[in-house]
Amino acid sequence: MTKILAISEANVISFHAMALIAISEISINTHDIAEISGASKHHAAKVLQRLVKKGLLGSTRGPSGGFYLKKHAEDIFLIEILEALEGEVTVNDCPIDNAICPFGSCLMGGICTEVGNKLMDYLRSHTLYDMIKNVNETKDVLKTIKNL
Amino acid sequence: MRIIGLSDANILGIHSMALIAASGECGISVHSIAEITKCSQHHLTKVVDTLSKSGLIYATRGPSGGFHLGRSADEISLLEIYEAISGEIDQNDLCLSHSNSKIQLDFFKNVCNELSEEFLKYLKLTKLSDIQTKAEKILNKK
Repeated sequence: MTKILAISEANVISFHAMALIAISEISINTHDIAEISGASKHHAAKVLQRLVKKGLLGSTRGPSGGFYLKKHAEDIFLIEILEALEGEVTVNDCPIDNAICPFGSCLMGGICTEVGNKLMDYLRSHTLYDMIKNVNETKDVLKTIKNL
Repeated sequence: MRIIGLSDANILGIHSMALIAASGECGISVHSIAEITKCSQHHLTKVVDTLSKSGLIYATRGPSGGFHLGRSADEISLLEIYEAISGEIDQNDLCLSHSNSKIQLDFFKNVCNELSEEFLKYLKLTKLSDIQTKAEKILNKK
């Protein structure tokens, strides 16, 4: 079935991964993130690699290695997570990217821009910490998969 | 980046339907729609075929043939056009679907759902007759 917002699977994985890494008190790796977020390990690995490359995450090697945040969760705005995967995000005025609208003004009354701008404002004004502060069940899930 | 998941086909479908509505009894050809919307005639033909199969429009043949609405413009919502092209919207799970996830990012999911609902409401409540005026102006100019 169709979705209204064009938030890709990769974006969903990246938000989940960042939240998990921020909450976790123990080191978590690609396997853990894939299992908890329900993503394929291959896809999760690609997304995590991108987040490391963009400087949002660091990684440590070895049997107890895993990912860590390069900044405090309070200092990572949600837009940074989206843009790490998508590049700089701008909301286009015309949904079909026509330089000059043949109809003079948007046939749909600019609803796409309006909704897009609301989401951008939200992502620019909220941090990773805002997203995770009420996620209570995660620590239990982490303990279960780590058999703690 | 497009935030709203409207494909080229969705947008073309809505714009074409507005032009077909505005053309009234005369009807309008794919060639004319492509000329006005500056879109590829090939892509447009596919979109119009899909709209025809769904019964939203029908074609008449001949030199003065073209496409016509299957129903009155005030009985067709933009949601029907959207779904005719993209399939049914899952109204119980509007976005960020990750059914296998063991955690729920409610904070983020709530805002995405709220915005999706706002857009869905627009599609449901806006009738083709509400947007055809702008298309009529273009056809009158031609």
